[in-house]
Amino acid sequence: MLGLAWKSLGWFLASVAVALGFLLVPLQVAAERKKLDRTVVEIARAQREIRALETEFDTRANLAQLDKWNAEKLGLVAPSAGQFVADEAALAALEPSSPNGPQLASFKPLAPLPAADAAVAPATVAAAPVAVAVATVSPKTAPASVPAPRAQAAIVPAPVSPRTKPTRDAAPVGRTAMAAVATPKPRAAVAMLDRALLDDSMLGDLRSGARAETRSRK
Amino acid sequence: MTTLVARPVPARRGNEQRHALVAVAHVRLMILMLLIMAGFVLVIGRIALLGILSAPAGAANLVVNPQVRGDILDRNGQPLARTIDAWTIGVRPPQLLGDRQDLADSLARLMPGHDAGWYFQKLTMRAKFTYLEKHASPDLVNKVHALGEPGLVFAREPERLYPQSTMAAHVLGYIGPTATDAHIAGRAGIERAFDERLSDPRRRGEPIALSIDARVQAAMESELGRAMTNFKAKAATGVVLDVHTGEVISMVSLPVYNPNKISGTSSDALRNNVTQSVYELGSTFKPIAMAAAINDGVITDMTRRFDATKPLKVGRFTIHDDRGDPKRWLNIPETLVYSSNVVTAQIADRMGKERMAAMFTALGFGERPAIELRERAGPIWPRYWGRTTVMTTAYGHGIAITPLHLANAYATLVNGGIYRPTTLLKVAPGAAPKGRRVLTEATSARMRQLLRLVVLLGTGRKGDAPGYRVGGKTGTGEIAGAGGYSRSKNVSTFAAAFPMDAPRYVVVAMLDSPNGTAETFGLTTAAWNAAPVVGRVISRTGAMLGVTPDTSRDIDVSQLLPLVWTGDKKPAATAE
Repeated sequence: MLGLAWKSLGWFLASVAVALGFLLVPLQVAAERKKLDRTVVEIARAQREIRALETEFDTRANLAQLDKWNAEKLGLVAPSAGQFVADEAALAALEPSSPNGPQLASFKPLAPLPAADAAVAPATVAAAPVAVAVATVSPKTAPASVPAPRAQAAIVPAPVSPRTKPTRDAAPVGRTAMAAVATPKPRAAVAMLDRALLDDSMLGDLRSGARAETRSRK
Repeated sequence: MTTLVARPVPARRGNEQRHALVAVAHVRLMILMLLIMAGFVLVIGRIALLGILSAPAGAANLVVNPQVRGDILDRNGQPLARTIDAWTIGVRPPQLLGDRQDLADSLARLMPGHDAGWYFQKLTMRAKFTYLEKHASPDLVNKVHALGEPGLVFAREPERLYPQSTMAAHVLGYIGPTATDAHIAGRAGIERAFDERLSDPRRRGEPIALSIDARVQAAMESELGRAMTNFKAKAATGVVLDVHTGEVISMVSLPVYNPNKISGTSSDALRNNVTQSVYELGSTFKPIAMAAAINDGVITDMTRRFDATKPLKVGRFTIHDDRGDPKRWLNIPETLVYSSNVVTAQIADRMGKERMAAMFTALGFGERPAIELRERAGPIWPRYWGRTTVMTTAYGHGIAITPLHLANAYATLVNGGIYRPTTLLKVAPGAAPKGRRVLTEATSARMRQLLRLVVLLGTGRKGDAPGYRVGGKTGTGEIAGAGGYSRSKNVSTFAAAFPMDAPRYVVVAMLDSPNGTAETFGLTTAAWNAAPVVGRVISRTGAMLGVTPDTSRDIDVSQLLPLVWTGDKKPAATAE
């Protein structure tokens, strides 16, 4: 009788263990699912926050605001027709070191120039034919040519040669972006294939590096 | 199994009786055990069911779209209208504990939008709840929370925000209640036209992509705004249109309003002048009349000359040219370059009423502009087409249309002669509507040359952008008011397209009642105020729109160039 009781108790415990085992699986699944849900909620919250931050950024940096800053401080202008090159050949043919070549993208603070120079410079450089008209034609027709240099100053990017910079005497920075031929050295000759493909300082670096290597090998 | 201890049965009871008692006890125990087992099974089954079948706890929140109203994006995905959760700060006056005057002072210090008196009045209000601030930053909320007043409450509420503020306000519109309808819904622009689509719970997750390009829109607004202040104009409008799809890339109407803060806006600012205001657009109609004449075979020869030596008398009307215009016999290119009313009227006269009206109808001038917006005005179509009406409409008087009509007509002139309805929704590549043919390819090609000539030699010179091959026509229409046309007030328009060798975009700028400045020698014609706006907009945005400026390319006008006699200057050559 007692043996039977123990036996049935054993059966009972075994079945409880099995049932618990079976029960644990869905519990585990439920726990895992809950974790997943929490992650999903977190993702949703993060997305909402990203959205809010993006919106805040967009609002603070809205185009009207950027335009105002540009008008007041930066003075960036759209690239002009001369700053686009048609193909690779035209790009390779660019000669930045020549006097009429493009200005390279680099941060170059303008040297402050005397006010008198600034007043004269646009007349001499920016638009030569127009300037002649200003100088020679009678006062009645002269104003016709006045808006032209101003319009040019508004549209055309920073003039190419350093002499013309005074047209914007208040501007702190050279402000043409010439992405195609950007180099860290502003006035390095770039595309003369035979001798100046690499600029001198770079060649010097290579040479000194090679010397150092040969020395260390000895 | 449960071990059972039976109550000792008095020995004096009979054996049968004892057996019966034991049996009853067994049955009872069995029932009890079954009940407990059933309870276990029930609990376990329920847990298992929950574990296996039940939906996740947060599911209810996840399924429902978190967005209350759909976003509006520009063609490059830049958000133009969004609904965000904004912090609001409110107060429950009965629950305030501290000194109200102190609290009002510190609130005025934190939120300088109002003074302490205003806050004090809110704090002492006989109401359960009132708002103090509706667009609070989280930082401000923290600071106000730090005041430690339990009567101040904070909540996040959905808020429609236009990140670009006033930009494209007339395109986007605004939402809110009106005097008669307290329901918050779209009240203008896209918000109104697509109100259902934006607030539909199933579709508000997907944003609406507009055809507007925010960068072009901003450039157009800044240039037009500058011109408007410069010339003290009453209003200004600008349109940029893709000639091959009819997409509106930019639509600017000034004065503008801020959709984020709509209260107190004047009705002038709320009106979308591009689609709701009609103007007599003057000489910009001449290319349209000319195209009609070329298309219908009224003019077959560009060298054909018409008499412009004297004003044209028709009945009791006299049609004049401007004082500065050449008084001689003009050929077709010269007519447009010098913008001769007299010659255009003669050509229109030869064309006649039917063909003129048919052309205007084909270009959509007979109906409201084809656009999704609900704010559209019908053109003013001549009630009676007399001989003089035909003549005057040819140079843009006696018929009033919206600037959008004009932009679309120019798109038709230059795109090969296909009229397409304009749209504010982004058109997928290759999904442009087929449109209907209004002009022949040859006519359109001729019009491109003529329009380019106007910019090279005529009144449109200031509208040129170097390298972008701009072609267009200026128009200065007088404003009709009480007692006839005003000499001093006019509407200056420049309608242009670029690049002329393969036109892609039409740009129209219009200034309403500009004043002369020293720079323009007091002149108020389009050549001086509207044309430079277009030129600057094109040079600012042309490259972004995918047109590479190239000074070495241009449309071939060598055929027409010798026909224009410009006095002593080159290219003079062959003219008489």
